[in-house]
Amino acid sequence: MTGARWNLLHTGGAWALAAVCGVMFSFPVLNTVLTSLKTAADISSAPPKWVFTPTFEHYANVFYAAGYRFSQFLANSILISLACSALLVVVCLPAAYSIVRFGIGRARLLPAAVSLRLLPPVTFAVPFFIVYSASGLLDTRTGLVLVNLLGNVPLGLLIFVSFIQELPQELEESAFLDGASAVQTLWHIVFPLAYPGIGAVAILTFIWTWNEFLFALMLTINKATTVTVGASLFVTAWGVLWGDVAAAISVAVVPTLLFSIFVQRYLVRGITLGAVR
Amino acid sequence: MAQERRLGYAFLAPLTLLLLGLAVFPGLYAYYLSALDATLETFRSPRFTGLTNYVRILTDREFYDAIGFSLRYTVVVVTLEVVLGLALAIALNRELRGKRILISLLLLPLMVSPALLGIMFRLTLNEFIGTVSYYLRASGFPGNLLAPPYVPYTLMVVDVIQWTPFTFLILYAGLRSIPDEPVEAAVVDGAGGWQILRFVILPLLQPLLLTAGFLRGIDAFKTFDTIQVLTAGGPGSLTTTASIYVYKMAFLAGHLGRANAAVVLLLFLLSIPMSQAIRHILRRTP
Repeated sequence: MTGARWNLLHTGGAWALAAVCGVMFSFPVLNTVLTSLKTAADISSAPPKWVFTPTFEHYANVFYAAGYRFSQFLANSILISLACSALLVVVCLPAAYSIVRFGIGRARLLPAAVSLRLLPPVTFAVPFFIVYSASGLLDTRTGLVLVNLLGNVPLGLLIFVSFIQELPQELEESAFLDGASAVQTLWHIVFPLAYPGIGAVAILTFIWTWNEFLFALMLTINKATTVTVGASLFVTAWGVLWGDVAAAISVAVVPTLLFSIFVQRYLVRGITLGAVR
Repeated sequence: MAQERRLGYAFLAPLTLLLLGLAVFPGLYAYYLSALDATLETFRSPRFTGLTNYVRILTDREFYDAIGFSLRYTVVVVTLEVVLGLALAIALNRELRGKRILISLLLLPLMVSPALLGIMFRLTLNEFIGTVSYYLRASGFPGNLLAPPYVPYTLMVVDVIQWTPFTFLILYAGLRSIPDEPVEAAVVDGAGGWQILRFVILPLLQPLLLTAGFLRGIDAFKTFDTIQVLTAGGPGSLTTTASIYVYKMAFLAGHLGRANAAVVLLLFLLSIPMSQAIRHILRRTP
């Protein structure tokens, strides 16, 4: 514990700073969830009410009221995110294994995937729009799965690479000596050992795909609309009904927040492109 | 060995195909498009127009305004996020009551979709029903922070709230991996807190400060989601970022080709920071 030895901040000051920022950072979410549980009268009351009788009418509206298609947006987001995270694991895990154990692809493919993380997504917006329009992928869930795969390759590949690097090689070697083929070794030895890494990549991909906005906005019209875009449509179309808007956002945000609890450990590696372990 | 190589290539094949189809081809297509007069109506049968699109973009006042806004935005938010992230990392690098809860609260915005966080701020800062607006007005401050002249600063604060967790996480991990010896040696030599920070901690953290700064800098420059949701680049073009400029040019004005000329110019502008960042990051990647 180095911290105690070179205190810039006294413990009280440190606690206060962390607490103030913690409250400030989580306030928008808290405020939205509270708003979603208030009646219309409570929402517009001044001063704001912090103690009130909760109501679930806005949640009922969001799912059942005529004219809203929120359930469809939700189904789209779930399907797109699930498919994307499954496919990403299938594509990136063998590639990472090959990079680490065979050294193939380390020189070119890995840096190329990393630099992809830095390119502005708008670079791809118009090409994807035109290709999708021509090929019938516009406004389809398949189209969004593909474009999100692209977005998540850098993160997935790097987490897998750093993860496989830490697996003991002896097990694979002895399996190999026992006559197991490389595919069998990957399937029976590496795959089970890599479960935590696979889980982390799958969950992070799910979250990032769920949260994606730019492509979901440009490449959908109404059939494949996801919750992030759907929720923003709520604001423009039914801007006055803040209770419903708040309920829609709360539903859209909860899955990612729940999932995030499982992956905090892997977050650092993922967001720094493996620069920190 | 030959078999191993063949297997290696087989394992890389899906990823390679994916990158060729979804990154290389659209990337090259983006360059090609920048020389076509493609619009939303005519993109099925566009004509070659040479550098006309580039001339149009380079003579568009709004293009420079967008780049200027993105640059100012980036400098401000990255500075604030690195400083605040470092302060939080130092604050939490010790035993603290309720530390796990505090860290969870601090990391919360990282998992919230930027677009949804934007809508949450529309709610929180709403002129009529926003809770924050109410307390601001009650204490004599302006009530509508989403209107000029405050709106650019509001957007920066939103960015700081969303992404300080990112810099905090990196720097916190870095602080925890700093060995005890150099710090203890400095303490023995009678160095004070600030001196230890300046001469021991910051030099040791420098690679991570650069990583955090690079990644945030590039990401902040290409900001789209939160600002699109909060202001759509308005009022007028006051808060139009480079990405929003491209979006408006392509999908609102309908000039697909011209928008891609803007993209190519942006990539040119970003190429130096991006290559620096890649070199820096790859040096530390496994």
